[in-house]
Amino acid sequence: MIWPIVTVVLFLIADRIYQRLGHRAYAHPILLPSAVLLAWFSVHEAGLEAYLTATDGLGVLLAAAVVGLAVPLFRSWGAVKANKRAVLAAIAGGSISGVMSALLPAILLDAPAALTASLGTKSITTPLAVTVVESIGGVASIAAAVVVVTGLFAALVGPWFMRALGVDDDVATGLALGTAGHAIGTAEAVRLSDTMGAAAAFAMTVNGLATAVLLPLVWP
Amino acid sequence: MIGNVARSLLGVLILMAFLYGAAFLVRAFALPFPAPILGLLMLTALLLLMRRVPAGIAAGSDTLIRIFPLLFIPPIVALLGVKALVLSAPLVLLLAISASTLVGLLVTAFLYRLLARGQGGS
Repeated sequence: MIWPIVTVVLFLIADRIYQRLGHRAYAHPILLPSAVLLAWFSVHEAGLEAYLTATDGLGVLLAAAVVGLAVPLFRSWGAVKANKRAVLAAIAGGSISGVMSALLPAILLDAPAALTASLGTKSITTPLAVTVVESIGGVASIAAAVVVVTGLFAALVGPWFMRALGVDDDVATGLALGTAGHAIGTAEAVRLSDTMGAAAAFAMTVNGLATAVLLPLVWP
Repeated sequence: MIGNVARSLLGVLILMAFLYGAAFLVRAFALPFPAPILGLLMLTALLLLMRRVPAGIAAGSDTLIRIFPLLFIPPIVALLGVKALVLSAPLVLLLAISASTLVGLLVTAFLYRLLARGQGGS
């Protein structure tokens, strides 16, 4: 019972800091608890198993959160409806190019198969990645870490990268952040503007769903 | 305040009911995709039929999306169990995370701008 409480308390502290700093990606509330717990269990390796068993309940909430994504999907439809073909094509193109460019170095550098499979889900939100990756022979915990670091990278570098490329359109930036950076990119987009947030929520959900359904079917 | 908490809890319970309903269907019909995804599709279909989001479901969804990062923590900690596999290909992981994310961002934004202009949108 102690471990779920420790995890929640660490998260609440990190979330308070994140709010204080105005939702800066570098203060993302996943960083502090992860760093503390990773440091603790690097030293006390024997306790890892017990921690994972004790925090199983959070896994059920994660699955329920995936079901709850229906709400932003439904709400954001209005923001993207006007250009729906362009929106869907952009999400599909960004998703396929993102997955291919992640897999290519893995294949060329002859990475272990389980690692390569764990990269296929890098741009879809964690609960989807974790449920899908095992069906293609990947490892859930690697997939989860790759997803989170990808999301942080997209949230930190994405808005700056878009401006550097001369993209000043909120819908385009939102779609890019949601497609490449899933929930963490979407949280950043919501902070920047409502339109950007709605476009990102839509892109995150559509990309997540399409990848989750299609990847196991096309995976060799 | 208490009303809000109760509403959020009710909403989370409704989402869990969808999840368990979906899990039952996946098992009963040996469906090829995970239960949370079927639950998401079922709830989306319901919202489309209702043409609005009931307050309880909205509160439950908003709550869970707000604590998303909390729910990711155990899978990250579990990474220690597969440390050797991660350290076997650090370059691959670095490329997958940085370069390919930039490719994804770039293609999405430019494809949208190209096609939206073609449709006469902004």
